[in-house]
Amino acid sequence: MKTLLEVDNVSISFDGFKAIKNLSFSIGYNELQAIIGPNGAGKTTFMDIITGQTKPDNGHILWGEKSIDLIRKTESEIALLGIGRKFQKPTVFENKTIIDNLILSQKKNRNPFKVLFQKNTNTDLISIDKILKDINLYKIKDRIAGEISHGQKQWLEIGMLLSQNPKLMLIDEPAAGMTPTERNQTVSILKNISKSSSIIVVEHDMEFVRNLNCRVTVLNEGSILSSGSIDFITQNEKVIEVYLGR
Amino acid sequence: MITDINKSVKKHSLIFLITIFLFTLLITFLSEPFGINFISTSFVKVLGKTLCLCIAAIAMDVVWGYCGILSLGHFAFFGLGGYMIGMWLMYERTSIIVLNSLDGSQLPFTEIELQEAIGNQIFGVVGGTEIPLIWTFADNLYFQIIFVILIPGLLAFIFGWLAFRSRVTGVYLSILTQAMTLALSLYLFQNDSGLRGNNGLSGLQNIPHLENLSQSTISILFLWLSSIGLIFSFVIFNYIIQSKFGSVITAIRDNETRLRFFGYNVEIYKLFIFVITAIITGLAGAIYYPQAGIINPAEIAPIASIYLAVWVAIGGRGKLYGAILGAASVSLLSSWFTGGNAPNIPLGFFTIEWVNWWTVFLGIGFVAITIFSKGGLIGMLNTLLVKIK
Repeated sequence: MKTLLEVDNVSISFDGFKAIKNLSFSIGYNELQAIIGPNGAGKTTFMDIITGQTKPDNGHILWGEKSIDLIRKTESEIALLGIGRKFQKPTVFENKTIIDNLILSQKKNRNPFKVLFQKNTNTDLISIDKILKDINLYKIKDRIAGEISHGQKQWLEIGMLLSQNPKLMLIDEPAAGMTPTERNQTVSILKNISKSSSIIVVEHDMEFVRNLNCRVTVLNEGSILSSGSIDFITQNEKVIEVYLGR
Repeated sequence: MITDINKSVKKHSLIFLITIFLFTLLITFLSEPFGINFISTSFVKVLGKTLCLCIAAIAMDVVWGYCGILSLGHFAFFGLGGYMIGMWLMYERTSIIVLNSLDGSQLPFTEIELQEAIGNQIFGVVGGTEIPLIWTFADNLYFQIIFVILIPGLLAFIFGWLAFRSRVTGVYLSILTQAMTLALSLYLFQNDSGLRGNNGLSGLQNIPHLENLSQSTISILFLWLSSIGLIFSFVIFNYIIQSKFGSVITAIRDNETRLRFFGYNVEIYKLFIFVITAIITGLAGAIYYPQAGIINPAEIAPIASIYLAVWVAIGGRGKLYGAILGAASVSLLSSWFTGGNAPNIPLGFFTIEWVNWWTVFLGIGFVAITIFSKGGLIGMLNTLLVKIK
C-alpha cells in the first residue's frame, strides 16, 4: 500500500514534559486506522502536530507522493493540501445554518478575491444535498447549527469534512455524547467515507473501535505501545495493564 | 428559506437606500438656496457631517460587528482622509489668494517668490516658510484624492499585516489600534510634522474655484456628496457581507481557529477587511472635514475612535442600519446637548448643565442599552415590531 502520510520520529515537549516521544506512524491511501490510549497519552497533541497547530521539536511529517514536509506549513496550507480535522468537542459555526456550514467548508478556491465573487453552482448544491443525506441532516438543513443536538453537531462536523473533501481526515472522538443507535450510524458513515479517503479516528470507546474493524494503534505516555488488529492489541499484556485493565 | 432571508435583506436594503435619498431630497427642499429656507446652513452642515460619521460607523460595524476585530483606531483613517483633502483645499485657496494679491504689483514675480509667499501664509503659524516635502502634490486635486485612498489604506495595510501575522487578537489588538491612533495624533501635534501641528488645517469650508457659490449652496452640494458616499459604501459593504466572503468573516469572528483547518488563510481575510474599511473611513473623512472647516490632531485622539465603537454598540452591531442608527442618533443628540440648546435643569442646590453632563448621560445610556438589549437600538426596534405584529 502506498503511503499517504508518514510521521517520522516526532517528539515534542511542553515545559519539560515530553508529550510525544520519538513517535513514528504511517497511513496509506483510503485506509482507516484508529488510535486509542488513556487520557494524556498524547492523542490530541498528535493531531495538533499533523495539522500544524503545534510545531514538534524534531522529526518530520511527510505528505503524499511528493513527500512534502508539513512541519513548516501553516494550518490553512496543510488543510489545503488535503488534511481535514474534526475536534474532540464538536466545533461548528453555531450562528450559521447547517447548510451554510457545509457551503463554508466546501472545497473551492480560498483566495479572498475569488471568494468575494463565488456563487453556489447547481453542482455544488447537489453535492451538499448528498452530504446532508449521508449525515442524516437533510430534513433540518436550514436550522441554526447552535440549536441542534450534540450528536447532530458531531455529524455536521463530519459533514463539513466531507464537504471539504480532504485526502485524510483526523477525527477526534466522533462517538462522544452519542446514543448507541447514533454510534452505529457513525460507524457506517465512517466506513463509507474510508472508501474514498483515509481516516484516523481517535476514540476512547473500545466497542466503537471494534466495530470499525481496522488497524488500531495504542498510545501511552507519548509513544506507541502496540499496534495491530483489535484482537491482537487486546491480548497484549502491556495494553491490558495501562489501558484496558482500568 | 435562505432565498427568503436574502429577499428580505434585499428589500430592507432597498428601503434604506430610498430613505436616505428621500431624506437628502427633503433637506434640499427645506434649505435656503434650493427651497423654502426652513433649515439653516449650519444645520445642513451638521446633517452632512452626520452622514459621513454614519459611513465611518458602518465601516466600524463591518470590521467589529462582522469580522470581530474591535479596532479602537479607525478614526485615525478618518482624520488622515481629512488631512489629505485638506492639504489641497488649503494650498489651492492660499495660492489663489497670493496670486490675487500679487496681481497688482509692478514687477513680475518668480515661481520661487510665489512658493515662498504661499509657504509663509500656510506655515507662518508654526514658524516656517518652506513648503514641506509631503505637500509636493498639494496643488493637484487628483493626486490628493488618490492619497485620500492610498494613505489610510497603506497605514491599515502595514499595521494590519504586522498585527494579524503575529496573530494578535482580542483586547491586545484593540490596545494596539488605540496606540496607533494615539501615536499618529501625538506626531501630528508636533509643529514640524509638516501639517501645522496643533493648528491643523483650517478654512477648509472655502472650496477653491467655487468662490462664486455661497456657503449655503456648498453645504447642499456636500450634503449630496455625503449622502451618495453613504449609499455607495452601504452598497459595497452590503455586497461583501451578503457574499460568501461575509460568511467567512463572521466565521472568523465566531471561531477563527476552526476556520484555519478548513484551509482559509484567516490573516489575509482580516487584512482585506481592515484595509477596505480603513479606505472607506478615509473617504468619509475627506467629505466630512470640508464641512467642518477645520481639522486638527485632537480629532484623531483615541476618544474619537472609542466613540465610533460606542455608536455601533448602541445602534446594534452586526446590522449595517444598526450602526447608522447609532451614529446618527448619538452624534445628533451630542451636538444638541453640547451646542447649548438643551435647557439646563436647576436642582436648587445644583444645576445640571448638559454641556458637561451629556457624557455622563451617554455613559448611562450606553450601559443601559448593553444590559437590556443585546442587539442595541435596532434590536429593541425589532422586538417592538415583532410584538406589534
